[in-house]
Amino acid sequence: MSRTSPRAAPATDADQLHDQFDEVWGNPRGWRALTIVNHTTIGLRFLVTGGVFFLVGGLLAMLIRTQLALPGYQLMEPDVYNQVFTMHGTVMMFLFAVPMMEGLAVYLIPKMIGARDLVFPRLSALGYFCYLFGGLILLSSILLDVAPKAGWFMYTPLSSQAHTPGVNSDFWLLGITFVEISAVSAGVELVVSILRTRTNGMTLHKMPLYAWYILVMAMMIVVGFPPLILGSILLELERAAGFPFFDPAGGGDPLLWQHLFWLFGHPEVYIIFLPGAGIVTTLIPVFCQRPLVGYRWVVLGVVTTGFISFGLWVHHMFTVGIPQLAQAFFSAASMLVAIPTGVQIFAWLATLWLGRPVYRVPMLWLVGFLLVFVAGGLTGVMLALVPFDWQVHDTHFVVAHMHYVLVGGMFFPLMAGLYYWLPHFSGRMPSEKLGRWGFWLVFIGFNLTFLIMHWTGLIGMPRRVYTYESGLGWDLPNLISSIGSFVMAIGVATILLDIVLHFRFGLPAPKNPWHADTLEWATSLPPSAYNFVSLPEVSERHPLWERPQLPDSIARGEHALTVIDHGRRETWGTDPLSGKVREIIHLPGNSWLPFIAALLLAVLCLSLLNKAYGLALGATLATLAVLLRWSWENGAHPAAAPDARTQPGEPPLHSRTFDGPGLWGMGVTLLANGALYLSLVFGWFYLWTVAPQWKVPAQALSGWPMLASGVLLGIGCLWLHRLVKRLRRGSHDTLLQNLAGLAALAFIQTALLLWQLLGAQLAPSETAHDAVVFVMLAYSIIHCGLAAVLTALQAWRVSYGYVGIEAPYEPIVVEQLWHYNLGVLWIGYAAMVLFPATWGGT
Amino acid sequence: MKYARTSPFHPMQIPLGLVIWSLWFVLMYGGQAVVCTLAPPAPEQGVWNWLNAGLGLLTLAALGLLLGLAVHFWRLSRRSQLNERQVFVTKIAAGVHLIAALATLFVGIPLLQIPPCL
Amino acid sequence: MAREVANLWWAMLGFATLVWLAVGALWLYAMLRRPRPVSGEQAKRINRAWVIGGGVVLPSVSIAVLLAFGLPTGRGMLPLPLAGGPPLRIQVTGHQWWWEVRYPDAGVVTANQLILPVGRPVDIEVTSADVIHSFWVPRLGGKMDMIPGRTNLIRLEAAQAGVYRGQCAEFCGTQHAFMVLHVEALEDDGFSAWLARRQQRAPIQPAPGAAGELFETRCGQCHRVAGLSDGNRAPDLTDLATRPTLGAGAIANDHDGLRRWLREHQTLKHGNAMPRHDEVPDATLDQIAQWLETLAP
Repeated sequence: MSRTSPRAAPATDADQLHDQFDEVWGNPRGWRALTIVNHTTIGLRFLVTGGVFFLVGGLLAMLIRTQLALPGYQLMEPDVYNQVFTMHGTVMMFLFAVPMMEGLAVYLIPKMIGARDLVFPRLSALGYFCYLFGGLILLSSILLDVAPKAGWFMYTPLSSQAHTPGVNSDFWLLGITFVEISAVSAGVELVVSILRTRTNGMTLHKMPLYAWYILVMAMMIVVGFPPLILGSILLELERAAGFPFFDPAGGGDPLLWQHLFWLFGHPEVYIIFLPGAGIVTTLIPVFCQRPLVGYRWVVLGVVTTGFISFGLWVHHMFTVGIPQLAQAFFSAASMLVAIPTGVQIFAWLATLWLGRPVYRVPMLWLVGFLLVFVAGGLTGVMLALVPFDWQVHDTHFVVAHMHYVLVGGMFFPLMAGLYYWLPHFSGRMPSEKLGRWGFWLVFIGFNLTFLIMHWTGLIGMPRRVYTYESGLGWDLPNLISSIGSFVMAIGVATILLDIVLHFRFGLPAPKNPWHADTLEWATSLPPSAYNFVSLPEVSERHPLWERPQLPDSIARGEHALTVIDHGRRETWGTDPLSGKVREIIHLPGNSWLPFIAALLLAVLCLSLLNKAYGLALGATLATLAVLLRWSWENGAHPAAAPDARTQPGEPPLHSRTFDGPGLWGMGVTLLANGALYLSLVFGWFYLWTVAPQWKVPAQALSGWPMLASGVLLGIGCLWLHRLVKRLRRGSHDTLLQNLAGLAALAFIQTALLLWQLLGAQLAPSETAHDAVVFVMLAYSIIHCGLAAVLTALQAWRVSYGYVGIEAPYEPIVVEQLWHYNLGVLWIGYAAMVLFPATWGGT
Repeated sequence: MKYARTSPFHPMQIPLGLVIWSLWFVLMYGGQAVVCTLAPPAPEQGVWNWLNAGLGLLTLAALGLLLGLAVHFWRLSRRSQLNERQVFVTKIAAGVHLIAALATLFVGIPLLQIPPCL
Repeated sequence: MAREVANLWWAMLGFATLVWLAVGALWLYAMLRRPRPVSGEQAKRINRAWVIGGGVVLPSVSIAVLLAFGLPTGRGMLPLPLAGGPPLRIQVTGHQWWWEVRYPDAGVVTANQLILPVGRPVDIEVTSADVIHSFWVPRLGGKMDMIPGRTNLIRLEAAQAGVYRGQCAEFCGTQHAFMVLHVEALEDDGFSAWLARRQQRAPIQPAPGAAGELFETRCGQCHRVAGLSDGNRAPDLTDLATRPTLGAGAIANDHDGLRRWLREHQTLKHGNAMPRHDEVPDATLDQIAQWLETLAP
């Protein structure tokens, strides 16, 4: 093999090349399969697990429809019914829709953008196991008959200790938070991967539209999930320790929960819909065999949807007594979403108009998508109208609307995508016959169930009733809905059968079976763990249409990064805009660490459920230790990249530069973290302004230790900044001493905050005021403590030679955390000390 | 090629219009909520009160700014010597600003119809 | 008001159906037609026409029209000050799972029934004693959440005399399904008479013998009967005999219903706050039932 130019690797035996790659990238079998971090495997695991959870959620739906089929019919006790509908919503939203869409993106994105893996493979594995364990913990509550039963949006005070005394709500709060670790980590990872690992030459405006959709979805997850995570933490604190955040008697407000929940909950709808629309946008051009016209229009629509969807949350709260003018703002904003959605629909329509579409099974699902989703969108615009919403809010009309939107916008495109990418997963083609049966059964069953349900709601049937009396006109529509739901269930079973059978009887798929344009079809079918043995330069939007021979030349190793005798997993690190290669990103390999960390987190979750706080503390410390150990295998560590030599003409390894995925990952994570903190600050000001019985203690917070801590942290940030600057200039004398000094400073600064917390004589279980102060201070203490530990570890790593002039990258990553902490501390100081002393005093 | 964050060709400009819209939206909602708690105008005044007027002026200012920026980016995108990437960024930015302006207009309309604190 | 919303709905339904049919038909036609190949420039033009026409103009115009009709409808529902002095006030408090109804100006208290005058706006002040409920009488108007710690106002006006069904609309726990409110709109003099009967009622005598004793020591701890007991955790029973149902819609309030309710209330409405009292002899329960049947003004 040539060592002079990686571009012109001579056509040695392609099989030999693949064997070499397999040695580095290949998946182990048996127990060691738990160590796999590869995105293809993780993505498939997400899809399969999500599919199983979907079946569970579907089963729960069948129970609901059976109970409601006849008036007065009681298959289940009311409390069991309440558990069942709560779990149906929870499972479908948190364990099916979001993870499924993320799983598909985890599987597809690197392949579409010409990368070998996601940027943080071990994080993918951690995310998957958190999802699996969290989901199992949540589902176990059904078997133990203690499932959450306050509805999937867990309104307080119904979900609080006083009104749901058992562990039911705890299962939801802890289980969902656990699952959300997975959602947010996948979100972070997808953002960074899309921005930084596109193959050489793939500029931002040439990347597949699916990547745009996923980029926006992932950003929305990063900003949208933290409010709910915060809400869950606060509610769990209220349940476990009596902090009255949502209890009006202690100066809290139950409406704060609704704000936090829907601040997450509405963007969530678009987090589910956008990847669905991304599938539609990917498939339509393929089945029309012509490019989607209006690439820019679609990008415009997607970005707009992403933003506007954060300005809609109050439309779930039109009946809580907010002034009508404020409602009108949200009403108008809600209707506005019709515009970017309309833009996308008509861009698809125009493409169909100009092309000659082929009628295959995926296309059938797309037609179903359009008919169902547009109907759901239209009822959505109706619901945005305040007076109409007052009438149908919390009735079966809303149930029908949201199933039209979610099943139409997510399930139908997902099915289209599943059939489309099935050859990719299995190497075999799906059948046409059984697939059509499945579609028609689902389509007819779905409309039978939910079309009539609009009417059921309009004539006054509220949602979430476990039974109803005869004679209100609700009998027949409910019976029709129940029959329809069983038809739909048969349809789902048909699809399942079709998919199972195809693994055995499907015809082997030819190369690029749908004659698609995107790079994921340039891999072998099914793909190898490294996707592409050589990474091509791509400067066109439709690489496989313009260069049909690309798959072969890739497999023959005629493109870049084909040398692997160093044993590193490598992919390109490229410029976020131009897609020009900047560095080689070396990726970590298989490891037990993610599995162990997730297992420990599961122990933490279970011990909190059982109120075994000693064990919980132990599990937290153990998790921290595992995660720190994980971070240890970086840079010049023997398990990472001890030898930094690359081929002549190739860029350096990312750990030998000042920029790399970790920097971006830290940035995006801090964005999520900041969204969480800002939600907390919002809660503080919200309660201060509108909580009905807000109480400010007579003794104001002194704030001196906090001020001192803030000043100290500011000095530390300047110090670290100068240190990094010196490192950039190429000098690392006394790096170790400086880092050690900084760590000591950070410990002192954290201790000052701790003093503030302990010395303030807070009564967090008495007033919401003190409870919020407690959480804000604790937040800063945890983060500053973490910065102290990480800085100390940096100093230690310098002494090992893992960090230094050769590998100068990590201190910059840590520096971001320092700056973040500084911002948080001063915002906290302004909110807790300056605001009450000035404006808040009146 | 790298651009400074302030350059009209930096992709930062793509979401800018909607960021402005979001800030304006937060000001509208937050301002309305805070004033209604602290010093609500009398309901008898209907829509002709200082709160609606203030929010209305804010809306007009945001609308003007967004329309101005939309025109600015549109003009930029029509210049002849741009490369494909520059056209992409400026055209999308113009579109985003225009949509944000439209959104501002729509969300502002209720100010003419509904008194603020009921 | 409900009428205006109904009109709004039919108009929106008509328009939405039209849009849905048009988009669906276009989509299917676009799939079936076999166009001649077009140049890139032509494709761009066609796309722009579709996207601007269908994606921007159509929704913008629809939204503008919708807001033009919707906003005034909403404004009509605002509790603005009225020309003829403040309207009648009624306080409704949600409990798990029943309704407490007070007429503060008349000093009348009842439960699970709301009696209104016809043709007059009524301001209903709603709140909750425990979890969030939602006040909703579908044929009279929209709903308003009942939130602990807050009082919300909803203005209703019944155009016609008659019986309306009200129901809790926000999920509130085990028996959310049986939180029904009997609403009745009476002509003006009928309404005044209804209030007057309750205000000028003769003192209520306790039930005779063991039943009276039991009521005082047990039932009266939670239930109020004017002049006899002062409990405030459960429905006021002072005019129980005038109510059509027991347990907020769980069973009809007739001879058999009342006796069954006293024996099997935890079966009829599982989870309600009234403790089981299986040890009380049936004879005593029947005596209590007999006495309860007399509780009408």
